[in-house]
Amino acid sequence: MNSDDKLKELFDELKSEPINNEAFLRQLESNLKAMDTVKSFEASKRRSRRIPTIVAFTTGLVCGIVLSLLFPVMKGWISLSLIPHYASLGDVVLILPTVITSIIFSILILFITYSAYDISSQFVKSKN
Amino acid sequence: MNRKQFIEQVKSTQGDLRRFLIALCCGDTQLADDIAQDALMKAYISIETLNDENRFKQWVMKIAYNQFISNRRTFHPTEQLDTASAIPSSSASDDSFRFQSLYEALSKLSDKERTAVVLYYMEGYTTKEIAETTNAGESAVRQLIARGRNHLKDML
Repeated sequence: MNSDDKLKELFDELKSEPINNEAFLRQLESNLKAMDTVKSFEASKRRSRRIPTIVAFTTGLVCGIVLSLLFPVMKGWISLSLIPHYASLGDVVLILPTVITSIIFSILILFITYSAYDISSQFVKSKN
Repeated sequence: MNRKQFIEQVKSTQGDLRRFLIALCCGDTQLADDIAQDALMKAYISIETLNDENRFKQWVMKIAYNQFISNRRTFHPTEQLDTASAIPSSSASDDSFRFQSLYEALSKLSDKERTAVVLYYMEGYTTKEIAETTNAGESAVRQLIARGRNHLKDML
């Protein structure tokens, strides 16, 4: 018998050694169970966030469109009533109403969108 | 593949997988089982990446090998593996003492040589399959087997 066959025989003997399968499988099963629990918890969390996100996105979009349509009206109102004393400053009076109106609109859209997310989250939570 | 199906697949391959890892860990059954558990958890997480269920065993063996290498890189034992292998762990059966000289000889090989030799002699893998499992070239695998075989012949 050459040394290669001897090695093969030795490894074959090693391979035929019995090992305890039950304890190993039991531990694996409990590990996988724990992993599935974490996975399903994360999936349910993702699902519960989906509806408020859609609601917030839609609300933000609608608000953005509506307020954009109202932009010229609001800009005119701000330039007349809010800062009439800047009329003498030339260029400033042309830019300032636009900037102020844009800031107000942005804050308004942000607030409405966040509120929509918050309300829909509460609604989903109470439903679950 | 759900959990039950995965466990069924594992049942048929776990013996080979654990023996392979025990040989790589030079008889440290506890360490080998820890690596096997980690590898199987990783396999379960990325089960969608398995295209062919018939190749489950080879796929898991590859993950186990990578896990073993990563474990060797991050784990800094207080004792060298060759010294530690001489101490029988509590979970190691008395039978493993029979293979003590083989384990000690294996511990003198490099990780790559040991992997190539174990897969070739114990699992009956071809050099091509070993190359796929270890991400090495076929000629490199042939060299590793030859070098490992010569070292083992000298030591056993």
